[in-house]
Amino acid sequence: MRFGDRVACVALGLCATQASANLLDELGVELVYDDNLTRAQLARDIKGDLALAVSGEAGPRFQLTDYDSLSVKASVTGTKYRHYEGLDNLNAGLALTYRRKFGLGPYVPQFALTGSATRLEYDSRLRDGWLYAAEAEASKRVSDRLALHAFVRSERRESDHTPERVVPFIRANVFDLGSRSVGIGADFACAPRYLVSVGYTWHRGDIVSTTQRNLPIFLASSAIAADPVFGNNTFAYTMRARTGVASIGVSREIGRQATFGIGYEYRNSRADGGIDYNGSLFRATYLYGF
Amino acid sequence: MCTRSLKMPARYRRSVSAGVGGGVLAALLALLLAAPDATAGEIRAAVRDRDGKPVADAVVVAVPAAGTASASHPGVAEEDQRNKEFVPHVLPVQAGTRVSFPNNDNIRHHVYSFSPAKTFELPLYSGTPASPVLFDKPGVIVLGCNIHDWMVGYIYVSESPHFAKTGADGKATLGGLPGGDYTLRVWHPQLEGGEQATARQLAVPSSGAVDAATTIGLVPDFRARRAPTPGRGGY
Repeated sequence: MRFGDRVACVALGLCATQASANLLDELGVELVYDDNLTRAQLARDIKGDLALAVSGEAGPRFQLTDYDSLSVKASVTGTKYRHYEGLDNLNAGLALTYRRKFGLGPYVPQFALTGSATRLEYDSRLRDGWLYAAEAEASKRVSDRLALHAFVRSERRESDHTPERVVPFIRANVFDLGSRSVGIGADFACAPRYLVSVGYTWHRGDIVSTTQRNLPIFLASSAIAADPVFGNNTFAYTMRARTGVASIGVSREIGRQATFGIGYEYRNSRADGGIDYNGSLFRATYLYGF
Repeated sequence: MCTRSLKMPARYRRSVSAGVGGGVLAALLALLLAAPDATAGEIRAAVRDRDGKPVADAVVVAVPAAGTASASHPGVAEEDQRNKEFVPHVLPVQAGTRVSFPNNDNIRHHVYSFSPAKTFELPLYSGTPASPVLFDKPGVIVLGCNIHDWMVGYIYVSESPHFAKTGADGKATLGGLPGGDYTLRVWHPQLEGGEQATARQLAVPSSGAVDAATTIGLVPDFRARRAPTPGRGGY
C-alpha cells in the first residue's frame, strides 16, 4: 500500500470514529498580572504588568474505542499588555492528544499523551518563533470531591530571528530554549460549585532574564541579545535554571458550562552563580466550555 | 406556578393495540382510559427542603397498603441524551418498564450503570439502540456516560404504579388512586438518609384530594464538573 493510500485509510477510519466536532470547544478571557515579567533579580530591573488574554480552541475528537480517544485541537490566544507593548502577542497552536481511560466510570485512572506546536507572534520580533511541546499526564478522580493529576513535559522553543551579537563568541538567539518539567496537582471541591486547585511544578531548563548590564548574569548566561521591550540598555540573557512554581486557585462554576476563577502562582528560579529570581502571578479567568 | 398532574410520567408512552377494523372500538377504549375517574382519589404532594425551598425532581411514590398487585402493563419510556446531558435528569418508571436511550447529540455516548438494581452497559453508539433496556427490579439506577464523566442521570424504578415527579414548584399530583390506605415515600438524588425514612401513612378518599407536604434534607451534589477548570498545570 502506498503512503497516500495509508493516509487516506487512516483519515477514513478517523471519520468513521468521529465523536465530536464543535465550531468552538472553549472560550476564555483572562486578566493576568505578572509582577516580574523580566525574570529579574535586582529591584531596578524588575518590571510588572497587567495583560488581557482572550483565547479560543476547537477541534474534533475521535473516539477510537470505548476507552481510547484522539483529539486534534487548534487554539488561538491573543494577549495585550498594558505597558509593554512589545510583549503583545498572538499565538496559534495545534495539539494532538491521545487519551486512554482504564475502565468504566468517572473514578478510573486516565492517561493522556499530547504533542503540540504553537506559532508565537510578538510585537517584538526577538520573541517570534515556534514552541514545540510533548506532555504525558496521568489523572484520577479519587472521590466525588478530589481529583489528582501528574505530568511530565518537555518543551523546545525556536526563534525565527537571530539578532546581532552583543558579545562576540556568545550566541544571540536568546529565545532558542529547551526545558523539562514535572508537575503534580489536585482539584478539591470545597462546595458543590467551588473547586480549589493546587499544583506544584519542578522545571529544569532555560529561562530568559532581561536586565541592565549585569556581570554575574553575564557569566551565567549562554546567550545575550539587546531587548528593547523593557527600555533602552536592557539585555536578554539566557541561562539554565531550576524553577519551582507553586499555584493555588479557586474557581466557581457558573451554570453547567462556564467557570470564573482567581488564581495565584509563585515562581522561584535558581541559576548558576547564586542567581535567584522570584515572581508572583495573579489571574482572574473566565472560561466557557461548549 | 404549575402543578403537574401525572398518573404516569410525562415521557411515559402507553400503547393501545387495535385489530384490523377495530378503530372505532379502540378510539372509544382510549376515550374511556383518558376520561377522569369520578371515583378516584388523588394525592397533592409538595416537597420542600429544610430551608422551605421547593424541591424539583423528587419522586413521590404511593404504595397501597393492600399491596401493589396491578393489572397495569408498563410501557416504554425514554431517557434522552441531549447537549451532553441526560434528559430528564430523573426518570421515574414502574418496574417492568423498558427504557430506550436515544442519543440526540451529534456525538457518540457510552451509557452505563453500576447500580445493583440494574447493571448494564451500552457501548459507544449514536442514534437509538435497537432494543430498550428492561428495568424490572425496584430501586435507583445511577446512569453515567464513559465519554463525558459529568453526565449523570437517575432512573427510579417504582414497585407501585402510583408515582409522580415534582416540578420546579416542588409539587406533584398522583391521580387515579383507588380510595384506601397508602404508604407515601419521597426520593431525590440528593436525599439525606434513606428513602424509607420519608415513609408515612396516608388515607386517600375514594374521590377528592388529600394534601401531603414533605420536608426532606438534601446533601450537596459533588458530581464531576463539566465546565473547564482554569490554571491546570503549565509553566
